[in-house]
Amino acid sequence: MTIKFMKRNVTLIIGAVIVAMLVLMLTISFFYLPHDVNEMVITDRFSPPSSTYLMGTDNFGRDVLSRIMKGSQTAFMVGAVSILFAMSIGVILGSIAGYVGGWLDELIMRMVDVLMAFPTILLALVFIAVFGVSTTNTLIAIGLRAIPTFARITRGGFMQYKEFEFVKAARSLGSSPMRIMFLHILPNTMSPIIIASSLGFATAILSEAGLSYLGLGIQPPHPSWGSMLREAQSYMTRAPWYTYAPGIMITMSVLGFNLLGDGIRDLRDPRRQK
Amino acid sequence: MDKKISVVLIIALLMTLALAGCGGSPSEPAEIETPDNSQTPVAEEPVSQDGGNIVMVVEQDIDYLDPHLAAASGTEEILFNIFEGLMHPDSTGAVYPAVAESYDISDDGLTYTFTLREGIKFHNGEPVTIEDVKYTMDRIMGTETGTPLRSELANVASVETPDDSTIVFTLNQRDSAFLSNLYYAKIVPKTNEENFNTFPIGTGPFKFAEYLPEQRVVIEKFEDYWQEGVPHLDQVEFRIIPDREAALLSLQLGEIDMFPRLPIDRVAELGEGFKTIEGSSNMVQLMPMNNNVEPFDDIRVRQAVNYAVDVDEIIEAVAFGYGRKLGSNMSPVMAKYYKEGLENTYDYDPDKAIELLTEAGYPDGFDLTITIPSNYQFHVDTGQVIFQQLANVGIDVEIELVEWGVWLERVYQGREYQATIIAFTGKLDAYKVLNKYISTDRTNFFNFENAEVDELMAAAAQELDDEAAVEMYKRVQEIITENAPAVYIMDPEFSIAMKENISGYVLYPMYAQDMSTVYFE
Repeated sequence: MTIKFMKRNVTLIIGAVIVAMLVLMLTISFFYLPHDVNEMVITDRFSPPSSTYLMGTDNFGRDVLSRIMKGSQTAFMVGAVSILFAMSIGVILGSIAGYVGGWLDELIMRMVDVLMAFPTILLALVFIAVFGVSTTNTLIAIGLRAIPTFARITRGGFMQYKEFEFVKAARSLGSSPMRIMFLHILPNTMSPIIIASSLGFATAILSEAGLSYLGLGIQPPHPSWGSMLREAQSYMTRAPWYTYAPGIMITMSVLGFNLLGDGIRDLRDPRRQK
Repeated sequence: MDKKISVVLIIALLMTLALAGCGGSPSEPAEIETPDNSQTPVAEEPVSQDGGNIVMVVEQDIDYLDPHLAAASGTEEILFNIFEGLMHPDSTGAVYPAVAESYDISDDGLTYTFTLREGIKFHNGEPVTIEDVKYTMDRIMGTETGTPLRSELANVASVETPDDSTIVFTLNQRDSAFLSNLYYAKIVPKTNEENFNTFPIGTGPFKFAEYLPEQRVVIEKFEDYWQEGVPHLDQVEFRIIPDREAALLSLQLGEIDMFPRLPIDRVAELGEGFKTIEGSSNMVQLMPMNNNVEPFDDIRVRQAVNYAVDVDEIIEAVAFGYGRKLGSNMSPVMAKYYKEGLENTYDYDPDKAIELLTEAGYPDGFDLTITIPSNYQFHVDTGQVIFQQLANVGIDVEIELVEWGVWLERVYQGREYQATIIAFTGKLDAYKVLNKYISTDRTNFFNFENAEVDELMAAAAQELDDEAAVEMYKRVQEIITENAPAVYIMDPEFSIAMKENISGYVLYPMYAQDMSTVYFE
């Protein structure tokens, strides 16, 4: 059973392991960091990985490992907050659109379509240009772009379930629309929403890294994988470890959450299995 | 006009990012003399070889081929080879007569008479006539259109051409910068009117050959150049490669021959077969504090910040030690105007800083937002070091990165900021370096106000006695340091890297790539 399960769900296992490792690192970072993330020891700049500096140091002599660990807080915070934001708004919009239908459905979904027309980075850039650079704005900007996915998935589920017998039964018993929507139908649509969250999490981390790379995400000297990558690129030949560290972290976290999302989908949706 | 200034600043800052600029060699502090009437630059000693082609990398595309519309410093340095004004700068920053053969200044300092150089030709073979010179001046001053193309000749009341080889300028008021301003009035032939921005023609050592946007500008040797012995090269290509890493790779692969503004700390990566010339950039990197905004409206707080910032550490951390410490708004490259000794006024002293902060009513420091344009990693890095240094005296810094356009609009023009980090590019004229401290000046985004500075600057602009003017400029620097409207950080040094067999390159204390003296050994 276990082996069979593992064979069938390699992606899920790999994804779960990667994410678990990331979460472990994140947890440790709250209690322990090898060095102060902003402490500059100029004499130790560009030290290659050693026992003192496990991932080496950067151009200011800051410990790369500590900054990577601290950066994971940034990445997870951005992922979690922006996805929660997008999910809460997206699910509400999608529920209303799917359940009520008619002109309200048209109105909401066309607005969502408009949102969907923007590439994430572009939308975020515009948003930040108008409202200014701040962590909150970065979160909102990334979250905004994730709304359409949730709205569409939820609407699809609602369209499908609102004609089901159990909904009709609830209605005939005099349940309020709110009760039907959020107590009867929503639980049935949760699984695709969870999958979308996992995939969206990966996208959000990537977007934050992209924005920080452009210098418009988390503000220095606070560490973020994207801004570390940007700083590291000038020293690519001199201190390759400085480029590898944030690069690998971004790759692994995006890969991990994508695999996890795919894995859950395979698990929950038997039709996709061979 | 605003836009023009913006473009100049954009390029100014691009330079900073690249630790760059065009510098005079710091090892020989050039005494900048006012040239006598007939001075021409010393011709290069005979060289072993003429001919050859050189590819030089430039970071940014040019903005205009029309020399009167071009405002970007990056364009300036290329057009330097194609055009000359009545006066042209030499490598010390002084100007010598180029299209003019000689000049004469009246005793009251209001009338300048220039004699046209005999036999001087445009690149298309036509002789330069006094009509062309007059046409150029009219075009810049907007005599017919009513809108001047550049501000450099704003002080000119009238231009007369009494005969075929003489042109007379009458000024509204005395202007010590007039001669050097004439460099910007690059002489163009009236017959080329239609093609100024597509196929420019001038009198410089090289003629324009080709421009492919975002790819290259090619110039070729002008055989009939009025100076004997130059240029040596047949052709120079300025290849536009905005990404420094890519450019560096191309240099290592031998695809390009010269790399201006290479940060010195990267020279080691070049390997065999290259040589470098080091120089200061004639730039002023600084952290302006908005003098109108709390808590910086209190001079004690500004001085405290100056004491709390360890400039030596910034130079070491950000510029790898290759920068010259500054104490006021003047680079040591401007040897004649540079006021020595100011750089140690606020030596690193955190205790003194805390003392001053306590006196000013901020014993526990305060929250400070430093707004930095995000495209200049050099300034961002500087900000990260200052973040740490100010934390030591209890000042809680938040760095806010903004796009360049936002910076210009909000900080530079709107003056809505607490502190920022930026660099000013060098100017040849001390007045243009210091005029941003005049209380009414449009570019005074420090909101700096000092009656004595205002008076001194007004007097210096009209002072014809050079030494007296220099003394005034030096005094202005002192006052600025005392009042600490900003933390003055450094003039970054840079190097120009080239293949080993290239010789004759001369550094200028301004944005110019003079290719006329370059030759292959």
